Amino acid sequence: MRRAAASGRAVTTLLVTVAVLAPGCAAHGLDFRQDTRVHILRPHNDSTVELPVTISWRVGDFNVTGPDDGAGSDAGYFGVFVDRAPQPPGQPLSWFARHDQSCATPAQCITPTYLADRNVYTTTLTQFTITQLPRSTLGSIGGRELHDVTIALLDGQGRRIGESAFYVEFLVKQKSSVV
Amino acid sequence: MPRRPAPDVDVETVAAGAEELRAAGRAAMGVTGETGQVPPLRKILRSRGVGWYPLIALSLLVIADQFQSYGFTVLAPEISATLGISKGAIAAALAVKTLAIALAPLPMAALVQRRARRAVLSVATGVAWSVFAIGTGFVISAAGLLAVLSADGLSSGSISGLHTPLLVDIYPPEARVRVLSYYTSAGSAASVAAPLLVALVAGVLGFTWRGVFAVAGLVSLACALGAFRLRDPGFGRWDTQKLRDMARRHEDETLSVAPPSSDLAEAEVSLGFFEIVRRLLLIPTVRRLMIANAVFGVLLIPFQTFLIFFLQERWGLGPGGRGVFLAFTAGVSVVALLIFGRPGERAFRRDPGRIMRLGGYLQALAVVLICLAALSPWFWGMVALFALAFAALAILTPALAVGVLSVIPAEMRPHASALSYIFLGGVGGLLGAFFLNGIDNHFGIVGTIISLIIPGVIGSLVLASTGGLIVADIDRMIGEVIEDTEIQEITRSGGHLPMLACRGIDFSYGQVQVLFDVDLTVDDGEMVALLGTNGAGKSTLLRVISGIGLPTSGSVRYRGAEITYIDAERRVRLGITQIPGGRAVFGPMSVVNNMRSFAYTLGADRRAVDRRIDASFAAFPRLAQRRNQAASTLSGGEQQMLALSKALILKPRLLLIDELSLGLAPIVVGQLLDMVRQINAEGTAVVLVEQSVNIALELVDHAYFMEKGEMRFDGPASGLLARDDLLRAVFLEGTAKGSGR
Repeated sequence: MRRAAASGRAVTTLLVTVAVLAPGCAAHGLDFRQDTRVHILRPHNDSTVELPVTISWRVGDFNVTGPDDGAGSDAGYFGVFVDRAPQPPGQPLSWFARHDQSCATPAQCITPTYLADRNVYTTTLTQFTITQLPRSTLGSIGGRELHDVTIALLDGQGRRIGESAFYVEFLVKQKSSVV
Repeated sequence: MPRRPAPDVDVETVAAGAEELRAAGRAAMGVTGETGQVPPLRKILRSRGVGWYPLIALSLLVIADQFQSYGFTVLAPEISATLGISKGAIAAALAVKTLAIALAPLPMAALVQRRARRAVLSVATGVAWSVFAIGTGFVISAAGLLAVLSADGLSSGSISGLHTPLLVDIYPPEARVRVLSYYTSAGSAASVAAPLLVALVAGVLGFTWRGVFAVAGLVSLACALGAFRLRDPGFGRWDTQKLRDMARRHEDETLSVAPPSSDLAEAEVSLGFFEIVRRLLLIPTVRRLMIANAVFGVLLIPFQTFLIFFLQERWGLGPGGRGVFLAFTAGVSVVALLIFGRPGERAFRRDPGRIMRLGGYLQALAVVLICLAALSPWFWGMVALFALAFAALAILTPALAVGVLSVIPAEMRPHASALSYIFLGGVGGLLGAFFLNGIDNHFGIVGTIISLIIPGVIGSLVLASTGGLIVADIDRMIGEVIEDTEIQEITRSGGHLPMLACRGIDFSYGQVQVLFDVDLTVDDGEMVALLGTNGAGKSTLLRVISGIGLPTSGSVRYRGAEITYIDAERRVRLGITQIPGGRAVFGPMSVVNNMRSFAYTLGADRRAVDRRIDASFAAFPRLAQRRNQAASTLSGGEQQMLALSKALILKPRLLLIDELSLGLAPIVVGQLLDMVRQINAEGTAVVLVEQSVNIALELVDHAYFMEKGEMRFDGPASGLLARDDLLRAVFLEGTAKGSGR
């Protein structure tokens, strides 16, 4: 009787655990191998830089076509995200306006200025120059603020392609970094 | 009034027997006092028939657990970028995981409290966290990450709660320091292995963080499955159980063992989870070691974060350089732990106090080395000093563990381990983070590291001070186990034991000790008087018996069972009721509701409660007339009647009455005492605390007299009347009060 009760508790625990975890996981569309299509050339990871700082990268197996409404996974443009994470995989840029009450529809709000206010930039080039940085939320080390930049691949509709994201962290002398 | 029967074996005899066994018990705990070389571990294991497998299996589990933790620490930016969740969300998920790890050992301890199933839980949780690690690779949202990390944190609580107590029970006492040192070294080795695994999977094989977690989870699963043959040997196989067997053998020589005839069921008197935790914190060594653990936590947890910043800021070390630095220092710690095992064992065997003092010195040495490292102008000097400091700190882990686990019975070790971890991670980790952060804001990173000398030295002194306590606490534990077993054997053999036996009670209010080695015995159906001057400790002794106060040492046995540390509420169910001094009623509540509140422990049987309330009203007709009146509006005598009705409602086997007659008219006192006589005549044993010697001695045959926290008289009431030296103090006090002085 006691063993049956213990087994019942174990099964209940297992079911509750699966029920809690399952919605947060998926089995498809996940990248287990590193995407090597983009390689950030500079600045080097953990290096110290001064503003303005130019992020440059090399790209392969990806056609830079710009925002042309295409939905392929091998063509599009680049999203540059400063001190923030990109939108989740498969989401368009309008995702950043999803909670903005002032937007009639999120897509209407998405202008370069609107995105820049949120430290999100897009480009068809393989480099991007940052002239100003927000105050770092990552902390500071010896008078230098820690910042990061993430490059993500966007399709022609501005949707993030897959899970790939390319990341660099660098230190910026504090006085020059504050907006 | 029943005469006090002579116990077949009195508690003092048992105590004397326990003294004889104590030396043998100490040897069973591994404290032999020998100063020579310790035999090689493999020789001990072979002679004891124990293999290496449990140590290897648990070491692999602890290494496997580190993979996921390390992976999450270094791959957090990639996870953030992939999932599109902020670093704040990642930090929050990590904080929840840390909280889960800190709290999980407690439920783990609760799960093994009644049954020794630490092995199966260790393996099951190992499988669980491996699956969660694999699951981390399939997470697609912040909520998923939070869920999987929380589940992982909860399941890995078995490491800190169960592994060490399990190892202590699997391996014999003469091998424990070495086994714990080697097990701890596995944790340090994981600090080398985890970066290598991440570097291999991500750097060489080209997997993303998802791949890293999947691979780490699979490796972890292999380790967990490799531990499937792990078996729990039961609680205290080499020590507590052995002590019990020794005590039983000792009893067999003097008693013919009859079939078990237990008066109280084990479940009625076995300690609950929080009772065990509270009991542990009453042990002086444990209390101090918890403080030492908290300080150790400051050095072990938040300091590591500041060290990373120090290495980056002062020496410009990037992630790779820092990884190599940490791997190197961890490697030195592994070597130090492997070297420490044998001398540590020797020190413990000779005198456990030595290992505690050594721990204190090592901690002091570690903080000095850390300060010197922070100030070192030479890079390699800095690395060497930090490596030595970490090696000293690593040695502290087995030293602290063996100290804590030696002074408590085996069943409580998972609780002690859990508490250690909470003090280490929860108290030390959190407070240390605040402390060091504040220092960092004012004095910078080097100032922060140097500031560690303050808590470090305090912790060292506290830890070293346990050296003077641990032997006494080991003896106390041995004594308790032996005494408990012997009493059980006496009960089983049909021998007579007093209903209540308090022995060697010490009690303190904070730092002020008010009871000193107090003994008191009450037999079934007996009425005894407990007399003494004001502030002698009479009421405090009643509090100890009823469970409102817990003694710092000594035992309270009721119907043969140890009840020293069980909750007051449970004691009421066992049949112990106290009527506190003063007006022991709830003033704003009506008379009948007071009675209902007394009947709380009778449960939901309303009819039984009503019957007993009616019986109380029949015994005290004046209360019946005032049944709906607020208790505060009753006269003093009526309030005491109401208080006494508690005994009529609960029908206890032992009634403790504190100052029943205080401030009442003689006629009312007479009525109340008649009722006490009646209650006693119906079979309830009574302990009557009284200021009035005349009243008390009129009622009882046996009396106790206390003065300044000590029991000064224990004998027939007539004998006390002849002791002018004692009674004068009471009479003089009464005279002084009467004259208004």
